[in-house]
Order: sequence, then C-alpha cells, then structure tokens
Amino acid sequence: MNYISYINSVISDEVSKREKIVLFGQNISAGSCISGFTRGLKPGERSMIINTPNVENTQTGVGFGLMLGGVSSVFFVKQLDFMLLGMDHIVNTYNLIRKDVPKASFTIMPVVVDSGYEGPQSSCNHLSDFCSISHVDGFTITNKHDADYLLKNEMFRPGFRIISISQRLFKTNIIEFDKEAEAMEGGRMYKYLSGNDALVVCFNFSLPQGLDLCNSLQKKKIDCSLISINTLLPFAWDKVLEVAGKTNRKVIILDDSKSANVSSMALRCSLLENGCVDKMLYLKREFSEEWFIPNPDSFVINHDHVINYLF
Amino acid sequence: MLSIEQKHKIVRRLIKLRIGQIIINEKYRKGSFKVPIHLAFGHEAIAIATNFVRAKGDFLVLSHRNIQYNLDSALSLRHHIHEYMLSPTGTSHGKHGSMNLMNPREGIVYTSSILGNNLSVGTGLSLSQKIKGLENSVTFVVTGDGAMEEGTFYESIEFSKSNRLPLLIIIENNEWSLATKRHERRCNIELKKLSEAFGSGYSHLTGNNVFHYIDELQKARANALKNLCPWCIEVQISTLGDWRMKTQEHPDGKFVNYHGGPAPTVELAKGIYIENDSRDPVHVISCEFGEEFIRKMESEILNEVKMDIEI
Ligand SMILES: Cc1ncc(C[n+]2csc(CCOP(=O)(O)OP(=O)(O)O)c2C)c(N)n1
Repeated sequence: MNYISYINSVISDEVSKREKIVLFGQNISAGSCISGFTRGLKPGERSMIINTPNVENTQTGVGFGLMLGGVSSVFFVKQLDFMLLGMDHIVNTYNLIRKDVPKASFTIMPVVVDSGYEGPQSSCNHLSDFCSISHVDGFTITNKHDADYLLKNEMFRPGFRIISISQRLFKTNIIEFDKEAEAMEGGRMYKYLSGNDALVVCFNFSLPQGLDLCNSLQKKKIDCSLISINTLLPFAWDKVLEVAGKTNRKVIILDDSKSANVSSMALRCSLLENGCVDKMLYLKREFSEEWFIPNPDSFVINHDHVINYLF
Repeated sequence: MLSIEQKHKIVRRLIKLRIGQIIINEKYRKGSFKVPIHLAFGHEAIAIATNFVRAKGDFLVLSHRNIQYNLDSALSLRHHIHEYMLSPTGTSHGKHGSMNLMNPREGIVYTSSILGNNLSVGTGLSLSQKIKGLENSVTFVVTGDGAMEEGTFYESIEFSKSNRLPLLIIIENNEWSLATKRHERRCNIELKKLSEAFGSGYSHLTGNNVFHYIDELQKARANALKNLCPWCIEVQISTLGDWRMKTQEHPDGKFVNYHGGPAPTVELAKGIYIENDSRDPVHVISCEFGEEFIRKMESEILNEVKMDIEI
C-alpha cells in the first residue's frame, strides 16, 4: 500500500470511532480530497465534515474555538506554507489557553510540500519552524509504525498539536519494518534497526534516505542502528547518546529540512559535548537558489562518501 | 417589556460598573497595578445590555478593552481588583490580569489582546454549540472599529454565514484605534452594506440607552438564531476620559483621546457623571430617572463597595 493510502485508511478508522467531531479544511471531501489524504472520511454521529472557504487564519482560530467549546477537530491543510496565515493563533491563541486542562483535541494536519515542483513553496519544508516558535508539539509521519502510533494516540488526544505528512512520499510504498519499532520518549522518536557498527539518525522526513543508507551499508557487512526523530521540539538527547555509545561511536545525522533553525544541530552539539562520537557525518541541505525554482528537489545521500569517510 | 424593578436593577448595575471603574482608575493613578488596563468609561450601556441579554449557555468572547463586561460579571469589585494585582484571589486566580481576562464560569471563555483573534475563536465556539446540539445558544464576540480592520473580521462573517452559525458580533465603534481617528487611518466601511453582502444581519445602536440596547440585542439574538447567520451590531460609542495636554504649540491644550492607562481627568471626588450628554450612559439614565434618584443610588452603592474593598 502506498504512503498516502495507508495514512488515509488509519485516519478513516480513527474518525469513524468518534462522535461529535469536526473535520475541516479546503476541499477535503471534494475533488481529489487532497490527493487522497482525506478521501471517504466518515466520522461518527453528530460530526461534521466542512469544506471551508480559503480562510486559514480563521480556520485555525475556529479549531481553537471548537477546542474551548469542548469539541474535537482536525484541520487538514493542503500545504504547510498555508499555515503561515494561521501562525498568529498557533502562537498567541494557543499560549493563552494552553495553561488550562484541554476539554477536547485540536490537530492540524498539513502536507509538507517537499516534492520540489512547487518551487518557492517547497522551500518551506520544516515543520519544526512552526512548532519551535511556541513550543508546540509537532510530529512527522514517515512510515507505517509512526503513522499507526501518531494517528491512534495523538490525533484525538486532548490538547493541540500539528501532525504533518510528506508529499514526496505520497505515491511511494509505505515503509514497513519486520520488527515492531521501538518507540522512545512516548512515541516522539523511534528505533527501527539495532546494529552495532554505526548509528543513523534521521530528522524531518529523511527516514527513507536513512533506511536506504542502512541497506547499502548492510551489503558491506556494516550493521547500523536507525533512529528517526518524529517530534520536532528539541528535547533531551540522552537516549540517542546511549545508542551512539553502542554503535562504535560512529554517527550519521540526516536532515532534509531547509530551515536554518534545526534541532539536528542540537543533537550534533550534544554528541560532541558529551564526547559520544569518534566520527560523525552531518548531512543536511545546503542553501541554494535552486530552492526557489521548480525542480525534483530530492535529498540525495552519496553512500560511497559515507562509507569512505566513516569506515 | 421590562418591569420597573428590573429597570432599577439594571440602573444599579450600570452605576455600580461606573463606580467600580472610577475606583480602579483611582488605584491605577496611584500605581497599584502593573498590568496595562484599558478602561471603558462610556461603554457601560452596551456591556450591561449584552450581559443582560446573554442566556445561560451563550458564550461571550472579548478583546483588550474588556473591563466593562468582566467587572459587571465578576463576583465583586474586590475579586476584579485582585485579578489586576495578579493575586490568586482574583477573578481568574491572577492568571490573566487585564488584557486577556476571562471568566468561564460566567460564559466569558476567551479574551484576546490580539486584534481580531477573538472573532475566529468565537466562530469556532459557535460551531461547537451547533455540534453539541445547543440550538438555542449563541456566541457574542466584542470587537472594535480598529480590530474590525483585520482580515479575520471578513473571514469570520464568511465562515459563520457559510456554516449557518448564529454569531453576534458587537462592534464598539469609538472611531479611535490608539491615537488615530478613523478618517486618519482608513476609508469609511459601511458595515450595513458589508453585512448585506454576506446575507447576514446588521443593527446600528446609538444613544447609550441601556434599555433600548437590551431591546435591540434581544431582537438581534432572536434573529440570528432564527436565520442561523452572523449578526453585526455596530454600537456608536465615545470612550470617555480624554483630556487636554498643554504644549507650546497648543497653549489651550491639545485633545488627547483616552486609549488605555489611568484616565487623569476622572476622579471619585467628581462623582459618576463624566459628560452631560448622550455620550455618557450615566447621563442617559439620569434623564429617565432623575438626578436625585441616580445620586441616591450612587451613594448607596459607594458605601457597599467601600465595605467590600475597604477604601
Ligand atoms: C494584531 C494587533 N495589531 C495591533 C495591536 C495594537 N493595538 C492594541 S489596541 C489597538 C486599537 C484597537 O482599536 P479598536 O479595536 O477600535 O478598540 P479600542 O481600543 O478603540 O477600544 C491596537 C492597534 C494589537 N493588539 N493586535
């Protein structure tokens, strides 16, 4: 099953179990339903699905109003950059009401337009930017395991958060691991592979690249541990440091985000400060004018370079 | 029709609100409060009318200038003052101070100091009432002629109309936004025409007669519920407390509009009348009930209030 169909099926399942909820967004039950993201959703009784007008600032405020009124909702957004218009509420409204025990949930689910062909809009591909400004919980969905965990545990948990998906992955087969992933930090990061030769840590939506790299290294008899950081708030890195200690003190960090403000840098510093690494490769996007014109925009890792440098 | 007893009670509330504000102003002038407060002398009629017309289950959503609604709804002036002193014994346990003061027990569930944010949150609250099947409940949102310049004013009317929400938007039109008068900053906006353009309702209130305002608000509330649409209620207001500042260029004094902070010309010793015309709601009730009646009530309330706050 491909990534977007799988996510759609889990969302369908979850919303059908709930009554008196509101699912809203632009064209969410019309046309392609955001390329299948919101197709065929049937929430329980007394719920509403609203194809809203194009009013992102107001839509965000409406979600917080619903939450204050005790009604849970999900706001689906076709492109992450559209959320810029709702930032005021994400900062100011949320800061005002977050002190109180939430009566309901409000989840924003934006698609990160990281396929590149949208040109300048694809340069806004880092959910963390939207979360760090106000310490908002934010999660990326990269594979079957985190999709299950996040959609089942977070989507309707009382309170506010943003859960984003990647457009680049829409049509690709959903990644599935043989073994159940080890969820750490309450599902905020996951360990998928446990090798002892090196540690690969993936940020934002770079899990597919990380997995590819691990598979390449495996062919050379190099067994890697693989971790994906799905929450975008900076947090204590102890668990990652612990794994790094067991992987020959070799670490590869992958981050496909285009922001200048990245938490992968905090992990890098933490690894160095704590003397946890002998060799480290930090691979992230280099700023380029290319970001502002339509292009394939893939985050390509040179596997040979990694092997030559680290082993 | 209101009985004479009901009318007396309303007059009492209005005078109590004026006295409460004057006492707060006295304390403010002496430096008792650190939080910025926007007093609302001249806004008493619409506030009392709104609080009177609100039914159980209705929500009220406010903005930075909210003392007129909050003080009338507070348990006592003492609780309100304690809130401004950020004391745990305040109306909101000292958590909100002034510009974001809310009182959920009294239906005041959200107050935003960010212009316009309360409109979309109010829209969401109204949607939550619909989802919960509270067919006889409405949400009141209070905004100003400055705040309605924000795009979300347009968006919230559009969203509420599109989703058949009985949202009552009270626009306190005092012509001022901080230090600029309407004509100094923008074109005129004909709210009646704008409301008509959306197929929503419109009422225009002038004269500061609290009983007339109650009548009009009751009609607007009933109509919004019957037609399931937003209703704009534009209220012509003079925010009292202006003064003249003598400068070299203006030896006779330059007019300074009251926006926030202590009002230097309003004093307890001068009594409760601030202006002798319809700009002052106290003057308006005085015309109906006679000055002697009002003065008597003033001194009774003042005695009660003094015992409450020990001044
Ligand atoms: C988004 C935003 N922009 C600007 C301000 C600064 N500001 C605070 S009050 C105010 C005037 C608002 O005028 P109006 O809505 O008419 O209310 P009034 O103060 O006259 O009662 C302004 C511009 C703000 N709080 N929020």
